[in-house]
Amino acid sequence: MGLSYNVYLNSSRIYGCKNCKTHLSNHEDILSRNFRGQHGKAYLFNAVVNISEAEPVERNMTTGRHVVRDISCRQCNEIVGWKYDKAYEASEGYKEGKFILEAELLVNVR
Amino acid sequence: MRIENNGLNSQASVADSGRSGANGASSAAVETNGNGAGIRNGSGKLEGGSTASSFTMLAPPTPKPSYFGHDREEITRIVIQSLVDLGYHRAAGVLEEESEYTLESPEVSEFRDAVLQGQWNKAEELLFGLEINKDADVNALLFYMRQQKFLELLEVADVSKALHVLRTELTPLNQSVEKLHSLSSLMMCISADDLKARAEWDGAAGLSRQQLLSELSSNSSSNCPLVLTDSDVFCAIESISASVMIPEHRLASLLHQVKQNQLSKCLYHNTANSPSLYTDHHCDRNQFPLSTVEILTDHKDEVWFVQFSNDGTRLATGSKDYTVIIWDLEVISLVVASKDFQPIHHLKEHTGAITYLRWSPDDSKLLSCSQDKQAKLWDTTAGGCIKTMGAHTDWVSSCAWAPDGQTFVTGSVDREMILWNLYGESIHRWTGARVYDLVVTADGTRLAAVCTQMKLHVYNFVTREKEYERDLGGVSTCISVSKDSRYILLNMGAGVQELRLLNIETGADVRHFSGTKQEEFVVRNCFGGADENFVVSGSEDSNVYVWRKENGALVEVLPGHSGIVNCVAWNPTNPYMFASAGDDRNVRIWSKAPQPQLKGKMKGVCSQSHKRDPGCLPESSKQLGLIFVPLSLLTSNLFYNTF
Repeated sequence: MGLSYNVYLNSSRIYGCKNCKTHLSNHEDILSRNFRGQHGKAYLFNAVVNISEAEPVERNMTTGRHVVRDISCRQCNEIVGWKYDKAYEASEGYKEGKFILEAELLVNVR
Repeated sequence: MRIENNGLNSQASVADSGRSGANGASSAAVETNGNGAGIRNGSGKLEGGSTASSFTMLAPPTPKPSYFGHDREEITRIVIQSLVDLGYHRAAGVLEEESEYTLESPEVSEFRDAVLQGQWNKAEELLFGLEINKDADVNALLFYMRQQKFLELLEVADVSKALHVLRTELTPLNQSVEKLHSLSSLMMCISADDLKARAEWDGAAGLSRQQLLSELSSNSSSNCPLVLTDSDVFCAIESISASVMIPEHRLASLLHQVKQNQLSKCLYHNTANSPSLYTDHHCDRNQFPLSTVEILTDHKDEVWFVQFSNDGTRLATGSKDYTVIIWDLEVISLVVASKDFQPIHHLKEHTGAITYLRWSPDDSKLLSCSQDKQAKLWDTTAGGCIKTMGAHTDWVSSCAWAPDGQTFVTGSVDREMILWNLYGESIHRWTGARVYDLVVTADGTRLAAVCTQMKLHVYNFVTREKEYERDLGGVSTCISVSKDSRYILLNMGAGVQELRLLNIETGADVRHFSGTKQEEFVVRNCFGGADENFVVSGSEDSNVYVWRKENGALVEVLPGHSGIVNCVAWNPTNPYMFASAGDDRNVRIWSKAPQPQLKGKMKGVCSQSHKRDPGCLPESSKQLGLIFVPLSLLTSNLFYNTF
């Protein structure tokens, strides 16, 4: 695999993995705060960094059926949220290719 | 010794007379007390054929043949100049007489005299009588001369005359305003010594007038730096026509160009010696380290770093397996034919992958950096940890020693570079950049680092002030510095995928080296070989790449590793050995291929001496292919070159 470094974000408000502080996304990349995950409040992000993606699975959610995959922190392997691959409801299509990070698993880092 | 008209005979006799002439002159030169004045300084009127009009040449009754296709007059005049340069003044005089060619016309000699004696008005008058290059800027020539005049007036503290020259003679020439400003600022100098220092000028009594002559007669190529010109900026210098006033030391500069040309075409050039003029130069590919002669397999995971000790006798390797191994090269020979690398220490205190290693200048200590956010200082003899530096809050990515070995710098992606002393106390912090790699120059003047924001940061290592930073236009994860402290070498990753050589003083690009694959992982490079003639890099395509530093030509692409080649290191004392470290958990040692025909010749000539310096082998043993390894090892491992 070789030696590779985590991506370091450069905005004024950065969300990191609560466990290991690895940078995950910028505050400016939040698309919506109106989500809920297993641990309560969750945010929809346009882009995230330093994550690895699990295999896609089909999941029934409050807004309908979706194909999603869990995402975990590349550094400590802690699951931090999920990614939407596909939304079956046309009205939910805006989520495709976007990421959910659970607020409870995040911490503000610099 | 009359030159005959028959082509073949005349050539033979020219060669002949040249030889005997040189011999004769060398003994004659002892008696003459001359400094070349007889030839150069336009007493130039020699008895015999050359008269005042000699330069235009009295047409000889029959045209003399060319010198193997070269212009006879050019060759002869250059030879005359060389004889003078060599101190064979009498021979030069004899040659002028016999050939009926003169080194320079009386007008040129007169001009030369005028310049050397500081008779500026006369020199200017004479200048207009000389043949000037058609695209030459006469004003520029005048500027050079008047600048000398100005400086000489300042030297004797005649400020009012100097000012007059500046105002009425230099300014109207419409040359660079900056030059005028810097000249006028010299009027503030408090003494002649101050003036000389500030103007980088050695005074009327020094060599400055001769340098002025060279400048007036030189062409651009002889004036450019000889190796590694920073850019292709061509410094065209306006000059007096070369056929009238031959540029100084013309033969030497021609020979230098020939050598440079041969060296630049010698792809495998790996010796620091200047080539002989007697034969054309060529370094054999067989003499280049192209073969894996040993594979070190002790690491349990990917090997990310490798570095030779400064004395070339040990090797340190660092791995993702959290371990540093120090290897001893019991025997180094021209051909490493046996298992020479013995692991002597396994340093196992880190709790994260090893990212970086650096031997102290005296090799007594080793620094290791790790993803466990610590750097450790090790005793390389006993193998124990002396100090742990735990101030970083993220991976420690890199480190470098000060040349005196009393302090060192660690860099981290936590935005800090920290300067430490040997007691593990932090002395200084440079904050702001998340550092991937850093170097301190061998002369201790600069600290250079590359960071996550795709920038190069250069600091004055003495004052600790920042000198400059530069956007690189891509991620660079590796930086090396040349031994002469003038150049840095960067590996550029995703999107760029090349190596870049930069002038550390200015940050300007000098050269690019392409071919490697580098997308997302740290791939490291190094300088190496005799005189650091080569640039080497790992690559994500599992090959090792070698280029000529001087021209960027790709020398070799060496397969062998499976998976990424993370790091390469050249043995600083052996131009025929380097090491590479890979994701395949192996460290490969590259050297010259063992030569099969050695086997029969080895008996009876093998030495038991543990030779560490391959450069001092006697010539005869090189021819025999003699290698210095214990006899017992030879039979089993001599052909250990294929894996």
